[in-house]
Amino acid sequence: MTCEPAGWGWPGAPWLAGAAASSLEQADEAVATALRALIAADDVAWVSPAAARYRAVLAEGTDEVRLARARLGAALAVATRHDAAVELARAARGRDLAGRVLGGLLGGTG
Amino acid sequence: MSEGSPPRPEVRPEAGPEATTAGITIRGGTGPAYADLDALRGAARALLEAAERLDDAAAQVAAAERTVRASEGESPATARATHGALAPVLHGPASLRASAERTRDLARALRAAAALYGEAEDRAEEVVRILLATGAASLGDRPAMAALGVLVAAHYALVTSTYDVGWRALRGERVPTLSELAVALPAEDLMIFLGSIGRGLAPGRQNASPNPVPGAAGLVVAGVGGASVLVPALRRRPLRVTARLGSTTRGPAPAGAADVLSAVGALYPEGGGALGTVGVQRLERPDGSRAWVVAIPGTQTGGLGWGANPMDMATNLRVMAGAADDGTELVARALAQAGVRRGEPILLAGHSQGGMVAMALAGSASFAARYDVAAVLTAGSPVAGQVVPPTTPVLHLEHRQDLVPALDGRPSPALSNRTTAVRDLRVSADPGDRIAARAPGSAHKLDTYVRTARVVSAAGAESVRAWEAAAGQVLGGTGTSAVRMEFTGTRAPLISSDSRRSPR
Repeated sequence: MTCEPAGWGWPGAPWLAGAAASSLEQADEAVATALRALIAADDVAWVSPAAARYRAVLAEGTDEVRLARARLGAALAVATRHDAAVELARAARGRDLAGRVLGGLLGGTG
Repeated sequence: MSEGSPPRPEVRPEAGPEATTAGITIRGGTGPAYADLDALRGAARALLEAAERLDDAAAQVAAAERTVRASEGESPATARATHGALAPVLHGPASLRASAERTRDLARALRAAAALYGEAEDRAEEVVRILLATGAASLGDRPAMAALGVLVAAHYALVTSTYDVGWRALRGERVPTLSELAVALPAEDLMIFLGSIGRGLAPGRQNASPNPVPGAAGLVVAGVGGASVLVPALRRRPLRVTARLGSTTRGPAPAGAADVLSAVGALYPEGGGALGTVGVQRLERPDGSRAWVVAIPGTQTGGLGWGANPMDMATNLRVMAGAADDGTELVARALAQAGVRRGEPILLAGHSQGGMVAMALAGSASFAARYDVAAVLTAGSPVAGQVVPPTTPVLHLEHRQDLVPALDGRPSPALSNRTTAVRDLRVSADPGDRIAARAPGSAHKLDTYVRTARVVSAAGAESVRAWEAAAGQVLGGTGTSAVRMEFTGTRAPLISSDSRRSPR
């Protein structure tokens, strides 16, 4: 998978290549950090009916974020395929353009 | 949260808007203990951090979507698939932004809970109290030194205040009124100091006590008892308790603490009641069972026992000292006359002295043997030193600007069965409260406490909810009606020595 952030590609390469996947990877890291914080927030010794309600809401929130992370993982796979497809399309277009330029040059001299 | 998920558990009171809890501090009860507060604040911080990270993630996903949109012409099929995969993470109730907002809500709720209980106890205050009690007790052992010390302290306080007032006047600032100065007094510390000196004045060496005011009150009671040998007017006289004719009415049962306190207010002469009168409400539930609410007003006269009204300073001193008193006797006999049966739950509610009387009854073994005290409510009462069984739920309402609850020199204990709600009237949204905050007398008034009962209930702290649940067992629900009765206590008239000698 292409991991360079947008704009960090090699000279001549399309600058958008891998950008979507890279953004999603950063998003995944941020969600992982959020999950760690949510787990830390559960580390409270408070025992009371209110504490039970707090933990119930927190557990539900943590489950939601885990679900969002799973969706993000699925989206990352799709985005990686898209990045690869765009890269292939641009490479093909580049080759086509180079062929035409070469053809024009050869045709012009011949 | 995915659509169609089970309803979210309710988080109260901590989820209430912080404005509702402004100026209220809860201590004790079933809410978070003091030691939990740091953990709660830490959890709130962790949740806020989580929310920020989720926002970051949402921003990254949005950037990814823009990137895909910019390149969709080059691979329309995969672009469509990527948009479809990103949509639920970006938009709707299961999106990262929505999760961030819910996490932030939870953090706010926890912060509000911590703030509500936050100022509950300061260890430094406890140290100051011990130092004051120790110093004042040793001063009390040397009365001349004590008098000199008090005079020197008063002198410096006067000089400092004069300079402060002069400085304010020079700078064109408003000079505080005497009432405002009184409100600013550290009343509890002052009472510990004076109480410790008072205890120290007793014969023999008196060790420092962390709770010196009851001891000092006991000395005054003993002194009054001694003086009564020479002054018959100071002797404790028989109490006559009579049902007030024409006072029995029927109406709806009180629904909560504010209604119960309103019933106390109706017993004061300015509320249309008679002097020295307590109210007893018989609650009749739809299932035929009965419960009782006792309303006990506060001090009505400054006498030391020579008047007919038992709600005087003598009762204050006697209850504070733990001695037999006319206030508790009046209530116990009123309940007997009202026909309260064993096992029928009772809610004892009192304002000022009435709260002290309620606590004294709830803590009395002989009263507990006969009656079932299910809950106690006090408003503006100095009751920190009074002990009740650990199974009796108690709610103490206090105002920061009311000096009366501080007269016992200690904050009410933070126990699992005793909840204290302290309200700072200065930050109230009600102009009436803010005016009352300027004078200790107004801050002590019952109508101010009735408003506070409503505000404290609306704040919905866990500890208060637990008390309300216990009180609700007495008050009943829909369909419960109340029969109101009033009982007046009157001390027997003074009999002069002449009339005793020559009966006719």
